[in-house]
Parts: sequence; structure tokens; C-alpha cells
Amino acid sequence: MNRTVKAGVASLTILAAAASASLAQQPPIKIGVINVLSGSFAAYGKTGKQGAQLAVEEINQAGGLLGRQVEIIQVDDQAKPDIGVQEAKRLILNEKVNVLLGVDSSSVALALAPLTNEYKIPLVVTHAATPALTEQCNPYVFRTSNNARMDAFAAADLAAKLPYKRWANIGPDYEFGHASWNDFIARLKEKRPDVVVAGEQWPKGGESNYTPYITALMQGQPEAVFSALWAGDLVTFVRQANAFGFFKQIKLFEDPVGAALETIGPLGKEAPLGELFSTRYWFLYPDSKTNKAFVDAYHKRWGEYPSYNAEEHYAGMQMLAQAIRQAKSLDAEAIRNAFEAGGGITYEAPEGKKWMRPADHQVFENLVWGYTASSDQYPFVILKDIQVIPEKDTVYPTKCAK
Amino acid sequence: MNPSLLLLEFMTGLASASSLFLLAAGLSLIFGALGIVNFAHGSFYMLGAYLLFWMTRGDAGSFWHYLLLAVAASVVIGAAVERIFLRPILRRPEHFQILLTYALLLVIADVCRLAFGSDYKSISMPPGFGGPVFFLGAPFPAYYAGLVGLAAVAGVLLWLFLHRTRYGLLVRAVTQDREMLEALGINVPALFTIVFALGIGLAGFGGAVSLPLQSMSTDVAVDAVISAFIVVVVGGLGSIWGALAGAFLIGEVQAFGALLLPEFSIVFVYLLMALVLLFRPWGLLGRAPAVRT
Amino acid sequence: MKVLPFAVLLLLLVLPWLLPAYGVQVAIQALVLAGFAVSFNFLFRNAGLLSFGHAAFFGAGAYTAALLMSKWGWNYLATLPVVLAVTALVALVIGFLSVRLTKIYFTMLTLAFAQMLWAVVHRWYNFTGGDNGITNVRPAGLLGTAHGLYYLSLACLVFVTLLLRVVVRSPAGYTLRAVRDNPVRVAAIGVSTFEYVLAAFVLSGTFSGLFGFLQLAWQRSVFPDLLYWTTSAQVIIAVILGGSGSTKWDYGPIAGAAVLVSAQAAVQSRTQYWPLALGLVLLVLVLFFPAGVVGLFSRAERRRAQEEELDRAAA
Repeated sequence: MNRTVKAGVASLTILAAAASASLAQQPPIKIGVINVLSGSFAAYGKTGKQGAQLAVEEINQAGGLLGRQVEIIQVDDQAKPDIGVQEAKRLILNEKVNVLLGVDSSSVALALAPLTNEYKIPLVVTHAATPALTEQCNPYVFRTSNNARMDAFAAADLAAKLPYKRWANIGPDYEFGHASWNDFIARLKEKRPDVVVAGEQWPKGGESNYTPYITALMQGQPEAVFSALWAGDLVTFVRQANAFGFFKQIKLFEDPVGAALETIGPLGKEAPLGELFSTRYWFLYPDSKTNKAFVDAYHKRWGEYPSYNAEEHYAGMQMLAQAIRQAKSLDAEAIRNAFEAGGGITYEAPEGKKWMRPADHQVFENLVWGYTASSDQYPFVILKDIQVIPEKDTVYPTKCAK
Repeated sequence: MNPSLLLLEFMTGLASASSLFLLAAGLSLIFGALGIVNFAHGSFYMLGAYLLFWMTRGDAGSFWHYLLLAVAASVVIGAAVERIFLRPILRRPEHFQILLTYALLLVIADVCRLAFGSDYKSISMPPGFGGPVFFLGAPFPAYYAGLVGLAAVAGVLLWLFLHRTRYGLLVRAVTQDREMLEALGINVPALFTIVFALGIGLAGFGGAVSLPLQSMSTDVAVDAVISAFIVVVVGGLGSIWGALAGAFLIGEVQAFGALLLPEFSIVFVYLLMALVLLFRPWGLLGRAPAVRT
Repeated sequence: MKVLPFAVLLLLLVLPWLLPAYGVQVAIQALVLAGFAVSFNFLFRNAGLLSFGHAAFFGAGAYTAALLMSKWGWNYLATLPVVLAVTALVALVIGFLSVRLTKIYFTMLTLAFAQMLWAVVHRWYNFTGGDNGITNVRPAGLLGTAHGLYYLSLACLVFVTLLLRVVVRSPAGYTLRAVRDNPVRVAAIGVSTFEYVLAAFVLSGTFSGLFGFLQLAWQRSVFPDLLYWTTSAQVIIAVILGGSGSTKWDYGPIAGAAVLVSAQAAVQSRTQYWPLALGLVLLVLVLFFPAGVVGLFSRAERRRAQEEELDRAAA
């Protein structure tokens, strides 16, 4: 070939090489995942982190998002709002993440919400359950998990069908405990005006000695007890209550987050049987292909069964991915439009269908409850006699405009 | 309200008081003898529980076999900590001592988190203690009754040690006049190590026996030391009887408070602490007045 | 050495232009803690009182501003006089009841009062929002930006440091230290020791509230944990880390705060074992460097710390 053609081929080759190199070196999409990794709720942060990681690994294996790989930057907020804010600012300003996801602690979630407006960055909440978060109507805050009000309403609907009239409460003395009980008893009394409150006990969060509360509660002679105790508090309470024969004396104990694997795991054979628990996601339900695939993949990856926090982080990450694909962009406004489009984004999660209400960005879904029963197959109690509260019964009006 | 219910509430208060006493007695002893406010006390409580959990591998059947071993391990660790970290700073200003023991609290708690993980550790009731015993017809958990008994035994043994043995005499003497004891040729630093180890042993014992009752995590350390502080402030810093009185008072206040005024549980105890500090700053059974002249 | 304070001030003035955006955020946190530490140290150093309840004042300042802004729409700077008044009142009440005592009893009582205030704020969510806090509170205009807040914080730090320095060197300051060293003698010459210590307590508390006010602007929210004893512990650590000393310009607390905030930001982005790291640093500090960070640089400080130790051993 003559020299001109050679030069032309050479330059074209170099150009092609450069182009493909830059394509391969497209910067990854960065997602800041914020969890409680230390302190008494660390067990939950750990499972959440694992769920998020599994989702990202699957997304990357399938070719990534918008042609780019996805990278997680994991952060521990220690359940402290000021640490959460500081670390979020580091993620946004230093690490230049595109989206924030996760957040177990409600107060951290509330503290982070204003940052989404200031820095125009989406926050996908997958655990923090205070209804107040979505009632703030922030344009870039999205919650893909159910909140405490939905749990309380479901609990009340189930309670209304039961023959018990004397209800008591024992809950942790912070907003989550009080709001759950208030929502529960208000809804229950609407459906069953004959219901009577037979006592309320409010041990502090992190209480190590429940004995005064247990005996006082038993003195009120309730038929059934509602409780929003969770995490280590529930484990401690159950052990001490067992010692007093508490669960034998009352007819029913109802707890919206009682069957979390993080609590029934350590409780093992001590967990009370025949009590009405929910857990936001129960790994043995539904019996669908999606759920089975997820449980198997999670078990293979982490050597344990997925708790609700693992599944919620997984589903939240996948929903975010779906919105990004739809938006074809990482811009906060575009992602918002994708979440709100067509009456609100829907997604088939392992736990079932999730639908996000466009007005307040809160996801609604069926809620699964069951009665605890012992199992030969698993070292913890499982849920039998599954009761499903349909999504439409968990919806409440929002003050956010569409 | 019938008498058996009242008795049940009273017994509940005693159960709370028992674990508080085990925590506070050691703290009081250490303050009385060494003059140090041991912030790390709660982490030794937690350490006792973690050690027992580790030794029994979570199996309650071997609970009694390993209980004393766990306590002995706590005693040895306590002695080592005193010798290495506390002895150099005994003559330093208070704020250094507070800072040092606070640092120890952080380190020990986090080392446990590193070594044992952050999930909730607990254990079933040891065999034979699952059911209730009956007082005036009211059922009361056998393990809690046992706890009250154990705390009583520990208290009696402590009293015997302090009032009927030579070492106990020395310990009581050093709380009153350290210099005199040194002048008499007693090896006061070694005595301090013994007292500290003893106090830590009590804390470790308290933690270990609480393992079937509580889910242990590293936050337990902080919670425990705050509870211990409140007890010794109310009862009197430096006084074992004060620890007993304070534990009893707080235990019963919590029990009857939860029954009568459940709305205010959280404020009660701090209010009690503040009242005592305002009117008897050295505690109900404490000694030296600390009021500015 | 006379040039050092001006050099430091100059550096602090240009710092926002040298640091990346996140660095400015950390710097603001450092300035806020530094001011809090300087206010705390005034009481600690000159009255010899270790308060474990200063979180009450820091938090009271933050909450007062947050409540006024969120419930009644006040402008951020306009809340400042009310913040100072409320914090002074809280300090007056707590101080009146606490300064009668000394040493460990004083420390315990301040802890008890701060915890009571925390419990009330935590429980009273109709008013304070409980542990949902008060959020989305942002100063309007320039102070809502990082640079604006940085310079305001710096101005407050300089102002408080200078003012307290004047008080420390005044006759009142000398009297206060006399009360610290020999209260019986001071009372014998007819001076009311109670009034001097109480005044120092209120001054220390009020300025702590000022920096709580600034913390609100940085965090844009308040939560009850600002009032929890861990906040009090943090300022104590900052002061002792830096070296409480009697240096001219209160470098100790400022240096300690800067080191603590920077270390925390750096370490916690890398590991979840920050408490272990902090604990180890404190152990090393207490055992080997009792004069703190300042002691690393100043032989006079080291000597002063040693003398203090010998004095105590002799006492």
C-alpha cells in the first residue's frame, strides 16, 4: 500500500483503540450505601449491606447500568444524625456518588433529607420507617420499604378480627414505639369500639431490665399485647418475659417486626410459639420463582437466609436500577420522573409487587403476617398460618400534592 | 391490690436490685479504695458475659461449670489492667483518671465487638431454672429468685472479707488513710491491684449471671456503667452498704414506678439522682461531705 | 512567638479557599467544637470544675434556634439573642444548684441535670419532635452556604477566645482562680466564692450555647442526642487531648478540637472501629502525653503539667 493509505489505516486504528479504551474506562456509577454498622443495631446494618451488595453484583453481571458498572461505597452512620450528615456530605462532595441508598435509622434519614434538595441527589430509603419522612414531601427522597404506619394498620386489621377486647402495649420509649401504638390503637378502636386499653408500658430503648414492666403489664390482666419492641430489645424482653410465664398468661402477643431473622435467630428455641408476628418480608413467602431465586442466591452468597432488611435493600437497589434505566440518566429530576411515571413505578420484588405512590414516594405492598411455630428444618421459629394484608388496606391519605 | 401482687412487685424490685448491686458494689469499692471513678466498669460487666458465652459456646448446660471460670478470668484481666494502665496515673488529676477509664471502656467494648461480632449474644436459662417458684401464690421466675440469692451470697462474702479478714481490714483502712498505711509499710500498690481486681470480679460476675436474661451487645457496657453510677450516687460513693441501699431503692422505685406511673419511667431515676445530690451530695450512706465551704 | 496567633488567624482566614468542599464542612465542625471547647475550658481551667453536663447548654442553644426558626419562622441571626438568653437561664438554674459541690459530686450533678433535660426533650415530642428531631432548618442567604457559615463560626471563635482571655486576665479572673486554689482563704477575706463560680459557670454555659447555635446551621437539624452525655464527653476529650493549659491564646482546646474532628472524619471513613481507635489514642495520650497536643510543641506546657502532678502528689 502507498504511504497515505498506511497512515490512514494507522490513524483509524489508533482512533478505534482510543475510542474503545475510553468506553471500557467509563467511570462507574457510584451509590453511597448508608447503614448502622456499629452499636446495638449493627446486625441489621450488616444484612442490609449484604442485600444491597447482592443486587449490585447481579446488576453488574448483567452488564451494569446505562452501560456502566455500579460501585457501592459503604458507610457506617453509627445511628447518629450528625455522623450520618457528615458521612453523606463526604459521599456527595468527595466521593461524588450519584445516589444515596439505605439508612436504617429514622433520625438519620430525617437528617439526610434536606441534603437531597441542597445537592440535588436522590435518596432511596430502604429501612427507616417513620411515616414523617415521606410526609415531608421531599422531591428526591424515595422509600421502597413499608413504613411503621402501614405495619400498625395491618396489625390493627388483624386484631379487629380476633375476639380479644383488653389490649395492652409495651413499646420502646421513642417515636417509633409511640407512633406505632397510636396508629394501631386508633385504627383498632375504629373497627372495634369495644376494645379497652389495659395498660401501656414504655421501657427506654436499650433497656436491660424489663422485669418491672413485665410484672406491671401482667397486673393489668390484658388479653392481648401489642408491641413494637424489636432488635436486641425484643430478644432481651422475650427472655425475661419467658421467665415470668408472660406468654402463657396472655392470649396473644402481636409485634410488627418480631419475626425478623436478626431476632428470632438469637432467640432460637426461646421464641414464643403461636404469637402473631410480622417481619416486612418473610423469606418463605411467597412461593414464587422470583422469591426462590433470590433466597437461593442470597444463601449461596452469604451463607444465611435473607432477613427483611436484606430483601428490602436488594429490592430498593433493583427498583432504583429500574428507574435509572427508564430515565436513561442519573439526573435527580429524571430519576424522580421515572419513579413517578405512569401512576407510580411498580416492581416485582422477591416479596411481591411494590408500587410507589407518586405523591409522597412511599411504596405500598402486601404485608405478610403469621403465627410463630417451631420447625424441624430451621433452627429458628417460622411463620405458619400466613395472613396477607392486601396493599389497598395499608394505604393512608397523604398531604403531599402530586 | 392484693398482697401476693404487692409481694410480686417487691420481688421484682429485688431482682433488679440484685444485678444493680453486683455492678455498683465493685464500682463503690474501687472508688473508696483507689479514689478512681471507673468508667470502664460497664465494659467489664459486658466482658464477663461475653467470656461466659464464649466458654459455654452458647450452650446453657455448661453454664455452672464455666461461671466461676469466667469470673476468674475477669479478675485476672482486671488485675492486669490495673497494673498496666491504672497504676501510673493514680496520682494524676481526676480528669486524667476519668479519661483513662473512659478510654478503657471504648477499647474493651470494641475489642469484644471485633472478637465476637456485633450480633446479639444470649443463652438459655441454665437447666433446672426454667420454671417459677411461688411466693404467696404468685409465680416468680426461679432464675431471678436464684439471682437474688446469688447477690445476697456475694454481698455476705464481701462483708465477711472486709470485716473478718486481714486483707479486708487493710482494704477498709486504705479507703480512710492511704498515707498512714504506706507509712506502716504496707504494699499499697499491690493492695490497690487486689481491690480493683475484686471490684472487676464482681462486675464480671454480674455480667455473666445476666447472660440468660439479656442480649449482650457492646452498647450494654455504656448502659451498665450509667446504671452503676446512678446507684452509687444515690447510695454513697465508697460505701458497700450504700451500694446495697442505692440498688434496693432504685430497684423498688423502678418496679413500683412502672406499676403506678408508667408515663414517667424515664425521668424518675434521674430525678431521684438529682434529689439525692441536692440534699445529700455524698449519697444516702456515703461519708465525707463534699460541699464547698 | 508573638507572631503565632496572627499566623494561625491568617491561615484560618484563607483556609476555605485552600480546602475542597468536604474539607470546608469538616473545618466548620472543627470550629464549632473548638468554640465549645474554649467555653468549657474557661470553667474547667479557671474554676477547677469538671462539668459532665455541658451538652445541656450546647443542645439548649441549638434547640432554641431550631424551635424559633421552624415553629415561628424566625430569621436565623434574629434568634441569637434569645438563644443566649435561654442558655444563660438554663446555666443559671443548673449552676445555682451545682456549684455548691466540688469535684466528683459536682461532676455527677451536672451529668444528672443534663440527662434530665435530655429525657424531657426526648419525651416531649409534641413540642420538640422527640427523637424525630427538628429538621430542614436552614439559615437564609449567605449563612446558608458553607463559606458563609465558616466565617461566622470563625468570627464567633475569635470573639469568644478574646473575650474569655480578657476575663481570665482581669481581677475577676484572678479571684476565680484564687477560689479554685484556696476557697477558704478567699471566703475569709469576705469574697463570695459562690457568686464568682456561678458567674463563671453561666459564662461558660452561655458561650457553649452559642456554638450549639452554629451546630444547628451546619447540621440543619437538631436531635436529642445533642443533649446526651456523649456530647459532653466529646468536649472534655477535645480539651484534654489538646492540653487544657494556661497558654495565652487557648490553643489547647482549639488544637484538641481540630485534631479530634479531623481524626474522626478520617478514621470513620475507613473503619467501623472508631471507638477502638479513639480509645487507643486516649490511652497513649493520658499515659505518655499528659500535656496534650500543645505539650508536643511546647516545653513550657510539659513542664507545667509535670509540676501540677508533683503538686498533687505532695498534697
